[in-house]
Amino acid sequence: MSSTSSTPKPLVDCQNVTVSYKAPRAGIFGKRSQFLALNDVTLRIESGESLGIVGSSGAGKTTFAKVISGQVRPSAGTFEFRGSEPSPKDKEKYREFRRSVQYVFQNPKSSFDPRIRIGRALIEPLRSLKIEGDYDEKVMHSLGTVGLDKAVFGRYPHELSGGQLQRAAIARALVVKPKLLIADEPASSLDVSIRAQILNLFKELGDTGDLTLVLIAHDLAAVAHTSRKLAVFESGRVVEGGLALEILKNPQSDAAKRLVEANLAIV
Amino acid sequence: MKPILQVRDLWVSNGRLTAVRGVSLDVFPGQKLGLVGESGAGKSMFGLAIMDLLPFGWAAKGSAILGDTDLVAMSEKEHCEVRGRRVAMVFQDSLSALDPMKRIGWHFRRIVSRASADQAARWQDVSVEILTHLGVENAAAALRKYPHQLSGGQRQRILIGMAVATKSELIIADEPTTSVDTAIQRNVLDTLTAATKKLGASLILVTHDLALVSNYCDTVAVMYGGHLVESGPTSEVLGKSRHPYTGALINSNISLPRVMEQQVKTLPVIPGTMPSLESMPTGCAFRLRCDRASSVCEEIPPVTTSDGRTLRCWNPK
Amino acid sequence: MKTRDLPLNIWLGGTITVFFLLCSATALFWTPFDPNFVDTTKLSLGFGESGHLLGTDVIGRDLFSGLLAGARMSVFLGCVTAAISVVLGTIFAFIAVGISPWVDEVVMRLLDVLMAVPGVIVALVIATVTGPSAISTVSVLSVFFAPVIARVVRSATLPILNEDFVQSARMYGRGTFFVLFRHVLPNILSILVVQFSLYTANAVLAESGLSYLGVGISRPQISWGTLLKEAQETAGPTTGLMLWPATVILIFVLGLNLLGDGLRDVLDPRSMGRRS
Repeated sequence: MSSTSSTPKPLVDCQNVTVSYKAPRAGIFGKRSQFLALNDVTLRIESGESLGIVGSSGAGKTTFAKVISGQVRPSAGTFEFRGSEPSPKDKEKYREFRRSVQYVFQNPKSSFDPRIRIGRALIEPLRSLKIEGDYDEKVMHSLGTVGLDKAVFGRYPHELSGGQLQRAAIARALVVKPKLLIADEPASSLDVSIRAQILNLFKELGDTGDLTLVLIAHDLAAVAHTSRKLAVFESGRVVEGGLALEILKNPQSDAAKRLVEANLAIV
Repeated sequence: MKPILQVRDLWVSNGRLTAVRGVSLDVFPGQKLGLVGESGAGKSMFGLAIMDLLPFGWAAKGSAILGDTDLVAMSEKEHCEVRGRRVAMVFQDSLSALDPMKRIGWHFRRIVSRASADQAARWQDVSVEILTHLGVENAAAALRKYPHQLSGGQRQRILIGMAVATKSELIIADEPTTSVDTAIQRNVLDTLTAATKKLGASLILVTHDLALVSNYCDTVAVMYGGHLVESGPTSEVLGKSRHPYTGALINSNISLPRVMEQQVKTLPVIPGTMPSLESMPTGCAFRLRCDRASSVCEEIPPVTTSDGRTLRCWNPK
Repeated sequence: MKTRDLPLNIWLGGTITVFFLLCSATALFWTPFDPNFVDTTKLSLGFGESGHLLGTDVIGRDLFSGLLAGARMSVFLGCVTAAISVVLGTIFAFIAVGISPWVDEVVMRLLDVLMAVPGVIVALVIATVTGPSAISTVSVLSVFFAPVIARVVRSATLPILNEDFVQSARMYGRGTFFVLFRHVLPNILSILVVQFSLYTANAVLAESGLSYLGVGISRPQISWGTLLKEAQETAGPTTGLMLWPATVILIFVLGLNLLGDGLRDVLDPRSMGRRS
C-alpha cells in the first residue's frame, strides 16, 4: 500500500494514522458515538511524486489531506514530514513546515478575502512566514507560472472568473516555493471548458519533479491525467495503491472497481 | 408524431439581462432530451421558464405549447394547475427541495392526493410502491423519516419518486446528479430514465455533462450564451458535431478511456470564458472564442434545419 | 450602485438623521435663548410669542432652545452609547469565538445573564450610588446593549471563520486574532454599521426613559427625556410641553430605524462583491 522505493526519507510518512470525531448526539440524552474519519492509515509519499487520491464521499480523502497539511492532528498514529512530526512548539521548524506544505481549496470563490486585492493576497503568505526577498517580484513570477496576466495583481476577487481565481489560488500556494502542494478537487467547481486548463497546469507542475503533488479528485480521468500514482480510499482506509494507470486499467479492490464502473464517458 | 412540447422563440429576461435568447425546440412523447450547457448558458432558466418558476423580476416571452395550451401565456392560477400535474421538476439540490421540518410521507401525501382523487385514500400504498420500484429499501420506513435522515442518493430518488407520482407528461430534471456522489451517479440516472419510461413521460435532462447525455439521452440540445446552437439525435451530434462550440465541448470532455489510451500531454482547451450576461457580445455569442469566426458572425446566425438537426452557425464544420 | 437605485428607507432615514445631526451640531455653538434661563416674566407662552418659536415652559424657559440642547445631548449620548456597545459587543464576540469552544460557552452564558438583568433597575441603583449623570447613563446602557450586539456579531463571524480564505491564512501561520481583525472585521463592517444605526435609536429611547424617571440626565444638562420629565411634573401629559420632546424623539428614532433597515438591505453580503 505504500511505495517501496529505496530513498531513505519519504517526504510524507503516515503510520497508522487514525482520526476520530465525536458524532452529534443521537437524541437529547443519546450517547455520542465515535466516527472514524481515518482508520489506521499508513501511506508514504516520496519527494517529487504526483499522487492522486480517489474514493467516494466520506471515504476520508479530505481528512487525510488535512492531516498531511497540518490542519488536523491525528487521534492516533504518527505523521512525519521530512522525518519529524511537525509541532507548534518548535517555532522555527513549524514555520518551515508551513512554508513547505501548501493547499489549494475546492471552491476558488471562497479562497480569497473579498476585500483584499489579489496581489496583496499573494503577498500575505510571504509576509506571514517572514520570507526574504522582493515580494512583488515573487508574486509576479508566480502569476506568470500559472498563466495569469500581471494586471490581475491589482484586481479584486470578484473581478476574476472561477478559472482565473483558481489559478490565482495556485499562484498563492506556489509563491512560497513549497515542497508539497495539496489540491482538494481543484477543478470540480469549474466549468467543463475551464477544467482542462487547471488540470493541464497541475500536470505541468507535477511533471517538473521539483514539486510533490497530491491531488484529490472524484473524477478519475482528471486523476489519470495529472497523477502518476494513485491511492484509493474507502471508509477511512487505503484499500488500494500503486501506479494510477495500472489501477485504473485493472482495479483490484471493490472500491476501485466501483469507481471505474461508475465513470461515464462519451459513447 | 405530434410533439408534447413545442417551444418557439423563447426569450427570458429581467429587463436588463437576457438569459435565454430565441430558443425553439420540440420534445416528443417518450423522448429523452439532454439540454447541455455550461453555467450561464441559460439552460436552467429555460427549465424554470417552462415551469413558470422564474426568479422574481424575470419573465418569459414567446411560446411554449404543452399539448394544446401555451405555458407562457398562462396566468399564475392556470400554471398552478399545470405544475405537478402535467409538468414536474426534479431539482438539483435534494436537501433544499424538501421541507426539512416535514417527513417524506407528508411530501408524498400531498402529491399523490393531488394527482388523482381516488388514490388519495391509498396514498401510502401508492407511495411505497413507487419508492420500492425506484430502489429505495424499506420504503415504508423512509416515508416516516425526515429529509436530513436520508442519504443524498436516497433523497434524489425520493425527488424522482415525487415527480413520477404526479403522473406528468413531461419531467424536467435540473442537474439531478450534481450534488450526488459520482459513485451512484449512474444509479440515479438509471432510476430516473426507467421511471420516466414506465410513466410514459418525456424527459428533459438539464446538465453540463456531455457524458451523461451521451449515455442517457436520445436527443441533445446544446446551449451557449442563451442561444440554442445545435440540436439533434445524440449519436449524430456527438459523433459528427457541426457547431464549433459543440466540437470544442466534446474535446474538452476529459474521459478516462481517452486519457488512458492516448496518454495526452495537454488536454485541449477552449481559450477564454463564457461571456457574462452583462457583457454578451453582439451576434453569435461564441464568436470571440471561435477559431472559425469571421466578420459575418457579428450578426446573429439564423437557425437552419437539415435531416432532423438544427444549427445556429454561419461557419459550421 | 447608482443613487437613484437607493431605497426609500435610506433617503428618508438618511435625511432625518442628517437633519438631527445638524441641529445637534448647531446647538453646540448657538441656541436662540439660553435654555436654562428662567424668565418669570414670560411664563407659559404659546407659539411665536415674544420671539419664542415654540413658546416657554411654566417657569419661562424657551422650549425651542430646550429641544436643541436636548438634541445636542440625546444625539451625542445615543451615538456614544451605540459606539461603545458595538465595540464592546464585537470584543466579547471575538473573545468568545477566538479562544476556545469552552470560552465561547462561558462568555455567551455570562452575556445571557447580563441580558437577563433588568437595565432600568441597574440604572436606578447606579444612579443612587453615583448620582445620575451622562456617564452613568452611557455606562449602564452600553453594558445593557453589548450582549445583544455580541450575539449578532458572533453569528456573523462564525460563517466567515469557516471560509477557505480564513483556513488559508491559518495555514500560512496567521493566528486567530490576526484573522479576526484583518479578515473578519472588514467583512462584517456593514453589519456593524447597521447595528450602530439601530442602537443609536435604542439608546436615545432608553436614555429618554431613564431621564424621564429621573435617573438619567438632569438640569443644568438637558436631554429630551429631561424635558419629558419636567413636562410631566409641571404641566401634565396633554400639553405642548410634553408633545414637542415626544414628537422629536419619535421622528429621530424613526429616521434612524429607517436608515438602519435601508443600510441592511443595501449592504447585504450579496452586494459585497460576490456577484453570481
